[in-house]
Amino acid sequence: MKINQSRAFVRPPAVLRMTVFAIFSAAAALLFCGQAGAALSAADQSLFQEANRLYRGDKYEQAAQGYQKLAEAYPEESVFQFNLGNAQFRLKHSGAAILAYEKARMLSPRSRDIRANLNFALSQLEYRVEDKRSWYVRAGEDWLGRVTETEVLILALLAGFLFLGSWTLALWLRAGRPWGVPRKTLLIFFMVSVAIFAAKRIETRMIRDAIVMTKQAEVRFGPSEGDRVAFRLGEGLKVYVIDRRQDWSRIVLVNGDEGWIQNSKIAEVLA
Amino acid sequence: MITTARRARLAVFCIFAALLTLPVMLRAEPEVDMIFNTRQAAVGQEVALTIRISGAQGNIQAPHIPVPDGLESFYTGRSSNLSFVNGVSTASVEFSYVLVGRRPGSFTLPAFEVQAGGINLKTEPVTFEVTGQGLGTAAAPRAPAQPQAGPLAPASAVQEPPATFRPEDDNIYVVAAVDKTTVYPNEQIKLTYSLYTRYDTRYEGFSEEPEMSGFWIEEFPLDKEIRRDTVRVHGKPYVRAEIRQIALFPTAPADYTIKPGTLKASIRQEPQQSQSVFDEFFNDSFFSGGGFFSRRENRLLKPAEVQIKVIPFPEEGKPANFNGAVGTFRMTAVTDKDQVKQNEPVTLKIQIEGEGNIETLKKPGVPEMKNFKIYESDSSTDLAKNGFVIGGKKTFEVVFIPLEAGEQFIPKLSFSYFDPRTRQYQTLFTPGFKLSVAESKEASVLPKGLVSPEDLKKEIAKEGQDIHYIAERPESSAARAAAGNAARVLWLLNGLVLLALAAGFLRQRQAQVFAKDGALKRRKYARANAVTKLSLLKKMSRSDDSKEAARFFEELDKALTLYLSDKFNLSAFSATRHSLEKEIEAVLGREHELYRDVLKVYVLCEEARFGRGAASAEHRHEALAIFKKTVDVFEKILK
Repeated sequence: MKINQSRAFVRPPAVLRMTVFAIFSAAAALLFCGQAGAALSAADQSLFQEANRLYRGDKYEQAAQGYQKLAEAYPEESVFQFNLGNAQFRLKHSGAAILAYEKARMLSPRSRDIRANLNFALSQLEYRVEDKRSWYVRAGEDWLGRVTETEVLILALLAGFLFLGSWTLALWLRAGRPWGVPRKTLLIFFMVSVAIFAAKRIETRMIRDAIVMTKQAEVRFGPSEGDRVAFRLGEGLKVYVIDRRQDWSRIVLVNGDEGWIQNSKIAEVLA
Repeated sequence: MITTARRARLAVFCIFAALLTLPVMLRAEPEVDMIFNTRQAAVGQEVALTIRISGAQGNIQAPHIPVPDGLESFYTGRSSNLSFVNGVSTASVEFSYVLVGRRPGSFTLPAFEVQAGGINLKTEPVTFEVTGQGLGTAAAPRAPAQPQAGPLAPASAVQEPPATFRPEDDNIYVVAAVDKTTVYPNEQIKLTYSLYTRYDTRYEGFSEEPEMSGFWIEEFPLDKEIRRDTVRVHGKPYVRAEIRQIALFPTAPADYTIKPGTLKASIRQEPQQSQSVFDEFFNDSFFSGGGFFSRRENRLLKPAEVQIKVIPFPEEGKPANFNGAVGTFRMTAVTDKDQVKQNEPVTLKIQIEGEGNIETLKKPGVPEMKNFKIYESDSSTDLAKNGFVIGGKKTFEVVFIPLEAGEQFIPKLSFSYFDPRTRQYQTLFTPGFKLSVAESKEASVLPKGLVSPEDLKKEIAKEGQDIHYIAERPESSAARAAAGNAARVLWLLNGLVLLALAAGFLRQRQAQVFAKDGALKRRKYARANAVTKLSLLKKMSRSDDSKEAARFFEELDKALTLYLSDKFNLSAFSATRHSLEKEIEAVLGREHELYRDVLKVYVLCEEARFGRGAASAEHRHEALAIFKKTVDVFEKILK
């Protein structure tokens, strides 16, 4: 009688079983007992309440100062940036408001409130730039804008773990067998997720979003006052910084126009 | 038989006929477009809407736009255009309207039909936004408002050009004049275009239509024969012709400037002295009047702008139900029956008739009545132009469905208007109606043409937009911490899995090498096997039982033989003591202490096994030590 060797299950060695068990136990312990996010101190809690009270009383300038302090102390907290954006919007500082909303969106990319306020603030701008990028670039940016870098990293790591784990098990238990559909699928999943992570990384770290913070900003053909003005931008417009010098940044717009702008006239979202 | 000449004439006729019919064949299908200058406006701000009907023939009436509640529309004029490009003729007519939002929200102009040359064209529904940040109810006109020193005096009966107006050629000019310069909202103003000429002139229409933003417009039709007379202006004789008359109804109080557009006329060069030269004046026919072959010159004539001040309605005595109607009106009302069954509809027909902007009249308000279901039905307008006064009648229908039997009453309904002549508000009342309602179990049936109550329900309208309110509680950090921990755990897991993968690869490689070289595998595993056996033998060596002692030496013999046969790559089953001695001697030499010790161990094992002497505990320890030493020495020597 012929035994189908490829289907025969080989019981993993005891050492391997124990190792896997140990790994998962350690992982679970780390997951549940790991370092928690920094909670608000009592003083900051009261500062937050005070800022909210000032906002309700239409004292937006003071409220903005409170939110600014909290946003600096808790850079991972989107609520402070969101509220700061609201206060700045009420003060008609469209650039500062959009900057705060963009920062809040990076932290909580799927928050409906943040997106609504950002879109509303953008709709109130005096200037607009026609987006001439390809549809897939726009769609990609939109999709990547809905996830955080950590979330994409988790996806890539999970895909990596599944793929490498399946490969390891196959190597230990069924060495020499050809790759089946599940392992090939996991490999594709892993590669796609790594590509997404790379794209997100490039989007956030290499092509840095920035907001125009002055009422009007001149963009020049070169990084000096002596260079000719290429075009002018209005407050609140979003630009992409692709190169940075000491006082000047090279920017590109969604319509493809490029130029140099003084660093003092823009603020990077991921400062 | 057809002669050559006849054949040629026939061919020429056919070509001509084809050329004449080609444009007709190529003419585009009629279509209607709606063009907005903006889709978003503030309350009170004007939105220009143009309805362009192209490719239609015949007379086209200005479409009636069904505007939703909260929105007002004003017709501001029409213009025509005919183009002939690449053999295709395109005729288009544009009707201009102004829409004004009276409250914030999103408004949808429903699809409506436009009759053009016997064809019903249907528009698409269009939505636009009215935001809350508005100008209030007093909408400023789109035309630039010019400062005025005060209300202008009424235009003079003899329409001479204003003192500030300097025509390019004082032998021909156009005056646009209004009969009133200070009016109330919705009060009629008559705008008259008068052409003054001393040339042999042919009027050819407007090349640029007037801009009358802020006015509801009604054109007066031209007479077949345009009225003309002779007047003297600054001592010079002119022929004066009234070429266009328009009724204007301002929509809101403000100072308005009307840009009267540009007229086109063709003239003969020399100013004429004789009365007879005006014979072909206003002859629209291109071929008639003998002007076709004479040398003519086209002139564009631009009248001076017209200023109008629209003052607000007086607050004194303003009725609560006043809805902006201005003029003089009468109101009648009648019901179609006075004896009905329960749930049977009764239609109240209200007719308002008089002089004023009939089109914009609103239905008298009907109060809520618990004994009736009330539905608004159609309204129809019958516009009349009596001389130069716009008037007519507007009919509203309201359907009452009595819910209870017995005598029921439809109360008096009131309608208020402002009479600009007396500068007083007037209020008209319909009579009250008594209905005798018989009891009935029949369900109510709405009259034909009346929409269902569901359709009458108003949609919730968004009245404005603003940012969402601040968050008053900080986010929970647990989710963020969990994400961070998950990433760390996954990093760890991936690292461990990578190590396991590397180990797996090494193991696989080793297995491949061992598969090729069996002796190497035996040598590699000889020590591991010996160490395992050593720990087992250690346990056995501690026992005092003689049987256990015998088993100890038996196991020791096996372990030593297995180890040495693995090291020397001898078969464990065929290895004899003699063959092992020879191998050890070859490696260590006969004089080596270990050689003798190994032989001693074998002697002890044999003695214990064959019972020639019970091996003592000391012998067991000594034998175990020699085995351990053997392993250590051979591991070093045979590395």
